[in-house]
Amino acid sequence: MSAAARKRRGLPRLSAPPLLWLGGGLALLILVASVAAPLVSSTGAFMPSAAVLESPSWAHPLGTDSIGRDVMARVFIGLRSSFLIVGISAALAVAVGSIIGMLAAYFGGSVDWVMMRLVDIFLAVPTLLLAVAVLAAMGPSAIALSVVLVATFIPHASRVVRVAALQVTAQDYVASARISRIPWYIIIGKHIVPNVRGIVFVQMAVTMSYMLVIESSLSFLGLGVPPPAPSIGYIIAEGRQWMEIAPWPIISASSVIVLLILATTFVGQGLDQLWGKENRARRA
Amino acid sequence: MRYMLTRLAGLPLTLVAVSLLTFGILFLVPGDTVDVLAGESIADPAAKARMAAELGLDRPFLVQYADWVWRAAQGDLGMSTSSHRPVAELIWTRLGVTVQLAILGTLISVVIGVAAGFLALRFRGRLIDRLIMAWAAVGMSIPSFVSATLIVLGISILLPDLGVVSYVPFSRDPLGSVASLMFPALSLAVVSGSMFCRYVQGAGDDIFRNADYVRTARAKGAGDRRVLARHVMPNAILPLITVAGLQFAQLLGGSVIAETIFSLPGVGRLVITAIGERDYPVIQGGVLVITMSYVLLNLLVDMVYPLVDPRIRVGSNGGRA
Amino acid sequence: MTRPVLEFEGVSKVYGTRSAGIRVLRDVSVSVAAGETLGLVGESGSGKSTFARLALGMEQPTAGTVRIDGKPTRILGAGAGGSAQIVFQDPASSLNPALEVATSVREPLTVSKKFNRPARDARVATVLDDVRLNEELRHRIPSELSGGQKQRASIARALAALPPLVVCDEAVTALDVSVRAQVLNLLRSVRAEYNSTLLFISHDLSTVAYMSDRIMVLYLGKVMEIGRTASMLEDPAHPYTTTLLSAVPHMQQGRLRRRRIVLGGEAPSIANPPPGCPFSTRCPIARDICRQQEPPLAPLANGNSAACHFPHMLEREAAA
Repeated sequence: MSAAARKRRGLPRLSAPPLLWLGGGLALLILVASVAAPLVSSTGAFMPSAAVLESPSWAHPLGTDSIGRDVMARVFIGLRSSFLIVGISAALAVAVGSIIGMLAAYFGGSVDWVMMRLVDIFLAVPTLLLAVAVLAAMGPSAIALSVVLVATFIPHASRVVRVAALQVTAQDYVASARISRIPWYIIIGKHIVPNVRGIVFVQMAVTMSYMLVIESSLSFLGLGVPPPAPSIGYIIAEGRQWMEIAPWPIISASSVIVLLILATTFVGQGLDQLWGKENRARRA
Repeated sequence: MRYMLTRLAGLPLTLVAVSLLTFGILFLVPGDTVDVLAGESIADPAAKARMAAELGLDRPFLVQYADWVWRAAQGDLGMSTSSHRPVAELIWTRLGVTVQLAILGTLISVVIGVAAGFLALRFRGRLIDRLIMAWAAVGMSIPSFVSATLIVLGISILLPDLGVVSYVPFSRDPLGSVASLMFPALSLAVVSGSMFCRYVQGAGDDIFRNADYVRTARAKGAGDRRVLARHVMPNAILPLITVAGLQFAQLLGGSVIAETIFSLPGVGRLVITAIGERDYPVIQGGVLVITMSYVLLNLLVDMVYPLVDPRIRVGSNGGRA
Repeated sequence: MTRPVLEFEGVSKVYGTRSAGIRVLRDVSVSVAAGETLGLVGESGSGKSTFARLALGMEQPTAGTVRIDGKPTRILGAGAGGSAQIVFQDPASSLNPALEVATSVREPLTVSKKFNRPARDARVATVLDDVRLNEELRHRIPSELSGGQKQRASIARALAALPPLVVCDEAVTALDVSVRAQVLNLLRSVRAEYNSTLLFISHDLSTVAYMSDRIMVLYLGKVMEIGRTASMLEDPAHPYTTTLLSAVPHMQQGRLRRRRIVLGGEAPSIANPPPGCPFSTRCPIARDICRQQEPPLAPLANGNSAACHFPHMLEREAAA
């Protein structure tokens, strides 16, 4: 690709919608904080101390919990682990879902029918409840959590990507490649993937926001990352006991998780404005 | 018609898949299944074999599954390992609470959401509109356990004299029953109401701007309020009913959270308690009942939707002019 | 005589079941020799798209055989002989919007046995020269090109792997009229250079006439008339051809001036074709026999063939 062409193509991308900056900026801020903050007082997150249920102070900006651990450190470590688990799970779920969606769209016919019926089944079930049951049975662990999250969101991603892939498959350049007898995996890789890329990224952001809700709900029930590792939901659950005298853990953890979910939602909407329409109406 | 048949065709498969998974949960538990069900580790192999035979665990998986489904269909969901009472009985006594909460939650969500939506439309551009829009944008991003916990927190701070509001059964005192569920329902409404609000805004805005009959009414001199009440409202509301149905199903599925936080004696909390007690028959039974209801409800709504689709009802120019 | 590049032998295509299907093409037979351009004219529903798809091997005939270079399309793959190529109607969707034009043009070469890897880039450069797409344009993405430029790129892609047959499916219909002439002339010169065999499809008779050595007129899946362009235009046999000609003003010359013929009657549905001649419901000179007996495709005095009980009759009347 020539430099001139790259530059020509780069230009429209820069005028990103404000929503994207808001969400992206927020997410970035939270990310940086979650990485940096615990470094400042990492021992405070795990080690019990005598400073029990203290209000916010300079030493402990968000106070301490019932066994003297620094709330801010715990909140940010929890945030970091949520972000990591959800980030990886979302990427995985959307990647697999995209492949399924593209295959269903390209081959059509019975392949499409079978895949979509399977997807229908998955979408028909109440995910939170089943996640609860499965994790309860298997015993909470980060791996089990990821597996459940990924399995839950693959169908949704495949649905969305399939729609985009169908539009691409209907284009003449795909027909031309088929006529030239180009192998199917090359057609998918060279023609379909680049033209659904935008939708895939949007889906990743959107999936992350949904996953964050479920992940925090699960850890609230004690079924997420196993304690004593701090996770947002668990901090809120712990905090319930002492909420009248020390509401700080609940307030701070709640705010942070809502902000993070908002951030990912906005990034998703912003990306959609940027790339989604372009891909939906995409013509040469 | 075709569409309905397709959806119906998928039903048996879905039900089988769901029940299979629910049943299979028991076998996901690490460790020997006999021990799991017995509640303790049985050392003596002979005793273990006897127990296995008693519990039917020596049969192949699919046979056990079929047997379980067969019994469930007849209302027998096994025995609770912790309380030694029939699971079906435990669930039945609590089902009412869960359903009641879901109904109440949906109703309040719809009322609040729709009212807010219309307020926003009516006072378009003013502060109220912006506040409501902010809520609409943010609402869905709040996990229900967060809104519930914050409400409980708010109550404990603002109304410290209010004692623990425990659930009052409907049969004993209908009004009190509803009142006792008010806060839980509100916590759900904060989240899902925003969705209805957005829907009303979107649909109403669309119709407001574009529909022919709105233009006609205005041409005849009708003011904004009249146009809203007579023309926009009826057509925007109809498909709302199906969305409400879906939301109801959603609340059923999410009952675990609200019931846990507000200590309501519903099926969701039964399942959570059973998790703590490793009472797997109860877990299986509770999950089965809720997921079945969820699947069937969704199907019902799916089938009804084409009938109330605004594109069919609103007429030729109900959407983009 | 060398064997024809494209052969249709008694080809029929039915969509749906034998009993309740739609017969999109009915017993079509035609051969296209090397270097020849066969024009295909018809309205929507005539079966011309299906004809193209069969020629390309994208679908298989329900009855009869389609051959390219003597090989049935059933067993044809890419590579040595290779499949036919196509230039599509819509410039906007013919090229991958994410790829540079040169990459798109290169694609058929990647599976062609005629060109090994080192030779491919050279070949791409050559064919792009032939369609007069300069160096700078080659590395652009389609959205940065005009409609005419995109079509030229499509033509280059079609010709890159030296296919035995190129199908032009309404290739200039979507272009501005001024650009149209340019692209058509380009096609003519490239065709001469490569000695290409073309299947030129359009609903516009004047364009088809400009490009083709022979013309085949399709109506409701049947061949109405087929023959050498010049003689067909001067003395059309089938009423449908006459009607089509009468609608093109600039093809009226001197004593060949015709009254504009407006068809009455109803366009029959392809699912329920009328008995007898498919054109009988709209034909200005239809008689009873036309509605009862389907006329076979019969040879005429001028060497062409037409499926009509009264060939040349409408032409004589109209010219009078």
